[in-house]
Amino acid sequence: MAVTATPVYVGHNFIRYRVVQDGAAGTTLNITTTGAASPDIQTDGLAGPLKDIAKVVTQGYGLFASGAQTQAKARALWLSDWSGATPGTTKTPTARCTLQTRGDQEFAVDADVSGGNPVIAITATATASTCYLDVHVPNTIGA
Amino acid sequence: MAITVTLVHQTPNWLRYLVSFSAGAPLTADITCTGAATPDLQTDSLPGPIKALSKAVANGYGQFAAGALNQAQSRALWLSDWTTSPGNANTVTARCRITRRGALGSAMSVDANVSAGNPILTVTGVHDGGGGDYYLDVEVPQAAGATP
Repeated sequence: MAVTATPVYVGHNFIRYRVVQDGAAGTTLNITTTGAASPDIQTDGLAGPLKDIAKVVTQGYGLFASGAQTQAKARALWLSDWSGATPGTTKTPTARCTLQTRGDQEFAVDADVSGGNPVIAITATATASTCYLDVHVPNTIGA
Repeated sequence: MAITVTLVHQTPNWLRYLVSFSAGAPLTADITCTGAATPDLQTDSLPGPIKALSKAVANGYGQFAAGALNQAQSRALWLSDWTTSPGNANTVTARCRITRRGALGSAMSVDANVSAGNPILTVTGVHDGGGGDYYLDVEVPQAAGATP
């Protein structure tokens, strides 16, 4: 597997993943939110805002109705990017993803959907390197 | 326009901008803080620390007297870089952070400067044959609800 993500710190509103590109073929990785095997926000998270957001498809979240989501909604939920066709106001606490490189190569993070389920999409170069991905909810206690 | 800055999220102590750029010059954009059209830190912010910071020229801010500011003071206010700025660093100031969303091979930086004594944030893009999308977070880390 070329790109892997391992949770290295888990809080109620903060998960830090170590993302490793080992230099083998493949430069993308999706972190799912469905309760699948790790890396998955619902599986890896503790009870709290991140897990609530991860359950949007089955339970809804704030102004987001349950059911299949779009990329614009995934970006609102996981990147706090409300510029797309998202419902209601921006007062719903949503998550933010930030990257910190540990090596000398670039990584990128975006949000998308797979089968209507939000995913956090990591893109790396083809060269071996490591970074940290922080997924957190800034406006919650303890964040 | 070669580089665009769009507000995508706002809280009292956090603004998130989507910064997109494509081929073509110039590859810099300024975010003002005078109450001008967006992107402007005073216009885009909700009542709270960021809006108070953005009014430093008109109202002063902590140890910063009202009136024209210089780049060192601007960097203290918006980058929490107190290398050459007044007093101690106990005044709550902002931090800027960039996160890449796509387009590996390009790069984006942010600095603080002044324009006619008014602080500005300047974002600069470097592209390798294409453009890129980035998020710029402007936040006040020590304010209630902000991240550490």
